[in-house]
Amino acid sequence: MNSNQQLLKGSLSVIILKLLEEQERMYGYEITQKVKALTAGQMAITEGALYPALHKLEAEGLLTTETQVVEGRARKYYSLTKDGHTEAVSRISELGIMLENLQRLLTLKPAI
Amino acid sequence: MLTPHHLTLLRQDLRTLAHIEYQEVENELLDHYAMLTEQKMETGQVFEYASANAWKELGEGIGLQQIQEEFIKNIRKQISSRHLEILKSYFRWPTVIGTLFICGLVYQLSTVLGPKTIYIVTQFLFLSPGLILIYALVRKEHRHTDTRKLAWQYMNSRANIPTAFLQFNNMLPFFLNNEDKPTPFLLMHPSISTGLACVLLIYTLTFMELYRENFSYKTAH
Repeated sequence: MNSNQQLLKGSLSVIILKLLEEQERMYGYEITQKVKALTAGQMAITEGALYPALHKLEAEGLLTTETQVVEGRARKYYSLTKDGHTEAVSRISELGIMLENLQRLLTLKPAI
Repeated sequence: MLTPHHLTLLRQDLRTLAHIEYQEVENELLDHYAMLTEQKMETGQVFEYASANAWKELGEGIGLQQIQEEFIKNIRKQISSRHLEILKSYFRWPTVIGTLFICGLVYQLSTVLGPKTIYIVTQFLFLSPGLILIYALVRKEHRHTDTRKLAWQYMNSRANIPTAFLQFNNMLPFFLNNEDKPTPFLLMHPSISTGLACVLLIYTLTFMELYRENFSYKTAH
């Protein structure tokens, strides 16, 4: 696993919540493609990480699902619950603060 | 767009090569596998090559098994939490009054019925979770093989706990007594037997409640 993927795994649930906040409902494959497109292929979510994360968020009551038959196969759409919306705001804000601090640390000028 | 025959072939891969058993996981992975295959077919690849490349991208089954394992773990955790929640509810206000009333009633009955009867009742209660499962098996056998598989597995394992205690109780006199016909431990200690009867009664009630829950997890085959 490269460092990009390790960072991605740690913040996967926040990414999912953020994407679902932007778009009302999404399915697994769509999420992987959206991440790939938004990061110009720099980041890729593997199925092995995505689906357990989706199932966990669903079990926590943050996501709700709806299955629809599309082109002869069942497609499971995920969307945020009311709690999911609240949690998304909180987790995105937490990650934002963490990234800001990380940015400060990484751009630290050496003491003279 | 994939034909129904193509989808059947992809489904077979999931079932035979990745051993996907749960319908919910299978449906989700089939859609993902199909989307990947379609994406490759759009670049001019024929179905056979496109699906083979998509399969490689999916980790050739190993990664998919991991998804199923995580799914099973997640559902088991949910069932176990639900059981614990039911158990806790018997000790919450105002249900705790009912629980104390039942225990008081069992204690009163034990003094009236005598140690031998309460010992027999306790023995029966040890087996009651297992008896509920037998009843469920007789009445809804199809549900046992097709749906509620994980919930069933959980209940099976939990029903074995009281049975193991019963066996332990029957074995204990052989270690404690040197007589020819050793008296069972619980028969010698009616107060412990009464206490256990209360615990087992509550456990059986939680078991019945858990059994009545409508678990919707389905298996693929």
